[in-house]
Amino acid sequence: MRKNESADTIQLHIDGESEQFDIEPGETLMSALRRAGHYSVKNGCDEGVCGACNVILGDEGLTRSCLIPAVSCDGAEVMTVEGLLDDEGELHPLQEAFLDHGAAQCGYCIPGVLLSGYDLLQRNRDPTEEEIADALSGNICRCTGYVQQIEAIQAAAERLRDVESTVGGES
Amino acid sequence: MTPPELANDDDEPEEPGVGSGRATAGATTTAVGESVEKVDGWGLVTGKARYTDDIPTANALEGRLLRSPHPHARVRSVDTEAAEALDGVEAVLTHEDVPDERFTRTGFPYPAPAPFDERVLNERVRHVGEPVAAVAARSVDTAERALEAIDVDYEVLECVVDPEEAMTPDAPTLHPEPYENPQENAAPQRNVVCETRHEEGDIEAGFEQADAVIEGEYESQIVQQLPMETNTTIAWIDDRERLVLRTTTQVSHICRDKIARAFDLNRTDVKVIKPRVGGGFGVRQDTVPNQFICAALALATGRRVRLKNTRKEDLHVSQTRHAQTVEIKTGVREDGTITAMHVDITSNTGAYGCHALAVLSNAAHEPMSVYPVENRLFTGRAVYTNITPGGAMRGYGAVQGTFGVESHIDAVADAIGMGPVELRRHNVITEGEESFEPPNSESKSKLESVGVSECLDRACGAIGWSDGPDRPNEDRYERGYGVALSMAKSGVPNSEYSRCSITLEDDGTLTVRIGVGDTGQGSETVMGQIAASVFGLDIGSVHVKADDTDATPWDNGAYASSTTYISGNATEKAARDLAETVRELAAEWHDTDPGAIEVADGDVVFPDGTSTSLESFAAEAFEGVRGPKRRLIGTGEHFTALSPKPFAAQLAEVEVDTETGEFEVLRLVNSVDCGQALNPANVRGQIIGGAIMGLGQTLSETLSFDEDGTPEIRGLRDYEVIHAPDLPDIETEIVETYEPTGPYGAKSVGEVSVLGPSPAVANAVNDAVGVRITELPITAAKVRDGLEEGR
Amino acid sequence: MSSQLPVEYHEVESVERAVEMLVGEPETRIVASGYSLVPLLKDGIETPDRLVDISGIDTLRGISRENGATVIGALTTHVRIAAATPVRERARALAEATDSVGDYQAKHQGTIGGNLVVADPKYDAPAAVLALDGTVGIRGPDGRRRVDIDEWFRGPSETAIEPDELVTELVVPDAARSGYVRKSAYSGYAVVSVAAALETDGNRVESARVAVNGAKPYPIRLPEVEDTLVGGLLDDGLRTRAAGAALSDVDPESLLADDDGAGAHRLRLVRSYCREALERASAAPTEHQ
Repeated sequence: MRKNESADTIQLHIDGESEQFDIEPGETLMSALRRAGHYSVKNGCDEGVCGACNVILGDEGLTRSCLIPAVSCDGAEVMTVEGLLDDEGELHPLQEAFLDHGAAQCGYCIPGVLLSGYDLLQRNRDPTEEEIADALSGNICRCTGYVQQIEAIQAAAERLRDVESTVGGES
Repeated sequence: MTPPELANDDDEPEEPGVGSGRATAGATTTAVGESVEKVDGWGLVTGKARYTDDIPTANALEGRLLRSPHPHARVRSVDTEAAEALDGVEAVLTHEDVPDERFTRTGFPYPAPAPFDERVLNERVRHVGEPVAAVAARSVDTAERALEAIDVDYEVLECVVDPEEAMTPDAPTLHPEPYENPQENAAPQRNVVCETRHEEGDIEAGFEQADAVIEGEYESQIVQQLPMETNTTIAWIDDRERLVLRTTTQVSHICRDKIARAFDLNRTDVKVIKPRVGGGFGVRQDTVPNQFICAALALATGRRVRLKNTRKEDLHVSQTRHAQTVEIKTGVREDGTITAMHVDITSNTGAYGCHALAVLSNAAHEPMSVYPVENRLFTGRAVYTNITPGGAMRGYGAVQGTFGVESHIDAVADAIGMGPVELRRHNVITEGEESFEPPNSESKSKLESVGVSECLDRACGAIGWSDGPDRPNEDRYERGYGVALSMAKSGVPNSEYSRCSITLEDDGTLTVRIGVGDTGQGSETVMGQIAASVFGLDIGSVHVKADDTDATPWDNGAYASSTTYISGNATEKAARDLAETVRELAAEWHDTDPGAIEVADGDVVFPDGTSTSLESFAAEAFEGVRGPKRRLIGTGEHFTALSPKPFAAQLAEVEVDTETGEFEVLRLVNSVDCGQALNPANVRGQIIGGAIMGLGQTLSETLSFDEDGTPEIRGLRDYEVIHAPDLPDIETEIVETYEPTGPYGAKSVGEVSVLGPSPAVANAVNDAVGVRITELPITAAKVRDGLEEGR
Repeated sequence: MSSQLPVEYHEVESVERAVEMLVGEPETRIVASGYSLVPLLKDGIETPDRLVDISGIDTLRGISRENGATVIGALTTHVRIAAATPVRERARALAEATDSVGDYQAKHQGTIGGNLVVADPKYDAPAAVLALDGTVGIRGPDGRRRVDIDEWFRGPSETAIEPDELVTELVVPDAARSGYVRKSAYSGYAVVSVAAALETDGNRVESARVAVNGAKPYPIRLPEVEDTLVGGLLDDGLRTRAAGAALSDVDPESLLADDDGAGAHRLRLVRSYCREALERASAAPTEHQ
C-alpha cells in the first residue's frame, strides 16, 4: 500500500531492478531519478512541454516525470530508456533503427523520443506516418526536424512485426 | 563517388595533404561517403551518454544568479551581508568581487571582432535578466533564500528598446565609458556599435543603367537557438590548483582562453571539458556570463560549483538571433540583368556588442554573393538597445539577409514581368566567379565548386515548378510555389585554425585528437571517417578524442560551418602525415623508397605485392622487431584564406485559405550542394534540421520584449517551435559537386538550409494570393490583412 | 533540486476522504494527473501548501450510461473519452474535442476533471462540454451536487467549484448532431475551438448550442449564432449567416490577444471555425464515422 505524508524514501521497480530512492520534500520524479544517477531522464524544460523527461510509469504509460511528485510513485514500476536493452545488453530494434537512420544528433531528446516510440508500438504495431508524428507531438527535437526519427520508428515497427511473425513471438 | 579528373593539376605545389583525397580515394575508401553510424551513437540511444550535468553533484555547491529586473540601471550598491550570513552560503559575489577588466564574450579567437564592453558582473546592467550578483550555497533552496536576502540599490536609468530610437540624440547611452577594441566606425555615444560601408563598382551608375528600380523593406524578428540542453557549467579547482570547467560549449579552446584571460590565469592552469552537449546552433559559441561567473564562484570558494540555467532563464538571457531591418534597392534591365543592388541593414544587437559586426556583415555578404552584380553596395549599422544581447545563431545574419534578398528578387522579377526562377538563372553565380567578401577579409574568393544552378534545376524538377501547383478542391483555397537560393560558407577565411594529432596504437587502431565542438552535428564521426579512409580502416578502429582541452591541440571549435572543411582538412593532413611515417618506416625495414610503399585497405603494401596488416605493422614497430621501437604519430594543421561555399535551392508549396488567411506549407524541397557528402545520413539530418529551424522562424517562433525591455515569454510553452505533426512533406536532395580544396571533396553543410525557408514561403504565399509578407513570422493574420487591403 | 511542489502530499482512496482534507483548508489542492495543475505550481500561479492526490480513486474512472446521457468519471483521460463508443455516437463533439488534444502525453494522461477545473482557453474539451449542455457532478462537505455547464465557467480561471469541493463526473446528454473544430497552435494547444450541438426536426433547427473557447479567456456560448439558427432551415446559407453573427456584440479589441491572434483576426477565426463546426454538426450521424 502506498504510504505518504512526508516520506523521505520511495521504492521503485526501475528498469527491472528494485531500488530505493532518497527524495527531497516537494521533489518531482524527474529530479529524484536524476539525483540518484538515472541520467538518461533529461531536464529540458521542467515545465512539462519538451518530453525530454519522459518515463513509462506503471499502468499509466508514457508520462512526463517533471510533472509527477516523486512521493506519489512509491511502489511503482518505472521504465527509462535504459530499460529498452534486453537481458544480454543488446539494443532494442527501436534503438538500432535510430542508429541506422541517423535519427539521433545531439541525443538530448532521444531517451524521451525513444520512449514515445516504444509507447506507441505497445499500443499500435502498424502505425501510419501520421500516427507516429502524433506520438511524437509531445517531444521537441531541435536538431533533426523529426523526419529521420519517424522513419526509424516505422522501420522498427516493421522489424518487430517481422520478428513476431517469423519467430512466433518467442526467440 | 569517384572524384572527377582535374584538368588544372599544374605545377603549383600543393599544401601537403590538402584535397589529395583524389589521389587515393575511390574504390579503397571504406568510411568516407558512407552513412556510417555515429561514433557516439550507442551512448545516445541507450541513455548512457554523459552531458554536463550527468555526473554526481551531491557535494557541489549550487550556483544561483540574482538578475536585474530593470532594463537599464546603475548598481549603486549591493548589500550581501544578510545573504552571506545564512547557513550554507559559501560565497556571494557582486561586481566588486570580480576582475575590472572588460572583454567580449564573442566566441572568436582573441581579440574577436567585438568591443570589450562587458565584465564578469557589471556595475551597470543593460537588460532585464542580466546577472547582478551570484551565490554559491549548499542547496538550491539555500541559494534562493540567499538571493532573496541580497539588497540591491539600483539607480534606474531610462531605457530604449528600438534601434532607430536608440540612435537619436535623446536616447540614453548604454555604454558611456570608452572601451577597448571598438569596431568599425563605432559611435557608442549614439549607441552605434559599428557602422560599415562596402561598395563594389559604382552604385549610382548601376542604377542609371537600370530600366526599373525596385525598393523593399524586410523585417526579421528575434528568435533563439533553443537547444534542448540549457546552459550548464560545473567548475572546480583540481589537485594541481587548476581551474576546470565542464560546460556546454562548442568552442572549448576559445572558452579556456577567455576564462584564463578574464581571471589572469596561465592558460596551463585552465582546462575545459566539453562532454556530450545537447545542441548548440551558435548559442554555445560564446563564453557566456554563466561560465565566467561559475568560474568565479569556484575560485572564490575553492569548491565544486554547479550553475545551470532554467529553461526560462535560457529563454530570457541567451544571446539571440538579431532582429534586423533590411532595406533593398535593386536596379534591373528589361532583359533581367541586375545592374545594381544596394542592401542596407540596421541590426538590433541588444545590450552588448557580441557578434554585432560579424553578423551584420554576414547578413549582407552571403545573400548578395548569390548574384555577382557589378555594382553593389552594402551599408549597415548595429545598435545597442536594452534587450537581451544578440549573438550567434545558425545562419548568422544570413537568415535575415536572405529573407530580404530572396523576397526582393521575386519582387524584381515581378516588376519586369519575368518568372522568379528565370530571373535567378539569369543572374546567379557560377564556377570561377567571386563571392562578395567583406572588405577587410583576406579571403580568396573565386569559387571552384558552385552547384547552385544544378540545385535550382533539381529542386524545380522535384516540385514540378513549370506545371505549377495542383488546384485545390474548394474555391476558398489557393496554392502557390516559392523559390529561394542561398549560400553559406565553410569557415571564416584566415581566422579558423585547426590542428589534429593522430596516434597509431600498437594494435593498428588510431586515436585522433582534435578539438572539434561536436554538439550533435556528428563532427567527431566525420573526423573519424576521414582518418579511417586514409588508411582504409573500418570506422570502428578509430577513436576520436575531442572533449578535453588538455588532450587536444587548438581548434577554433564549431562555428561558421567550419568543422568539416577546416578541421576535416587538418585531420586528413594528420592522417596522411602518419601514413607517410608508416611508409618511411616500412621502407626502412624493406630497404626501399617510401614512395614504393602503399597504405590502403588497412594494409601496408610492399613493392613486391606482399602486404602486412596495419595491425601487424604497428605491433612490430611497437615491439621493435625489425629495428628500434617506434611510436608513430602524425600531425596536421589547417588555416586558409579559402572558404568554399555550400549552396541551396529551397522551394515551398503553400495552400492559403483566403477566408481566414491561414495557410499551410504543404511541401518543402531542399536541394543542397555541400561538395561531397562524407556521411549522407548526417548531411540529410543537417539539411532537414536546418530547414525546420528556418521554418520555425518563418511561421511561429518569436521572442518579444515590451517597451520596458521585459521579455514577454513566460516559458517554453510560449515559444512555438515546429513539432512532428506540423511537418510539411520534406524532400532533400544532396547535389554533389567536388570541392578540390576540401577533405575528400567536401564543403560544410551545417547552416545553408536554414536560410531559404522564410523567403521561399513568403514567395509561395505571394504566388498563391498576391500578398507579400515582408515581416517575419508569416502569420495568418498578416496574410488576411494583406488580402483585405488588396480588395 | 528546489522544492517545486508543496512539501505536503497525500494520497486518498475515497472521495469522502478527499473532501475531508479540503474542508477548512483553503491552501489544499486536488491533483490527479498533474498535467493541468503542476505547470501552474511551477509558475507560481498557484501556491498551495498541500496536495491531495485522487488518482487512486478508481470509482472516478470510467464511462457509463444513465437515462439518455453518458456519465464520464472525472479521472477519465482524453484518449479514452475519444475512443468510447457512447461518446463517439451520442456526444460526437466531445469525442472530436478530446481526440484533438495535440500533445501525446497530455492526451493519454490528462483528465476531463482537470480540464474542467482549470479551463484554460487553449484546452479542447470545455467548448464541447458547453455546447453539449453537460452537467458537472461535484462532491463537497454538503454532499453531492450537479452544476449546469452554463453556470460552470465563470471567468478567467474561475469555475463554479468551491474550495472544499472536487469534480467527480461529467454527465453529457445525448445529442443527435454535434461537432467540434479547432485552429491549432504549433504548441499542440488550440488557438480557438468551437463546438456546436443541434437539434433538428427534419432540416429545421429546433435548438442550438454553440460554444467557443479562445475568444475570451474562458469558454462562452455564442447566443447570436444560436438565435440565428433557431427556426431556420439548415443549409449553407443559414450556417454562413449564423457564423457571421458570432461575437457581433463584442468589441474585437476585448477578445483574447496573443501571438496567435488578436482583435479582428481572432474574430475572423472564431467565425470561420464556427461555420466549420456547424458544418460538422450538420452532417448526419452516420456520416461522422
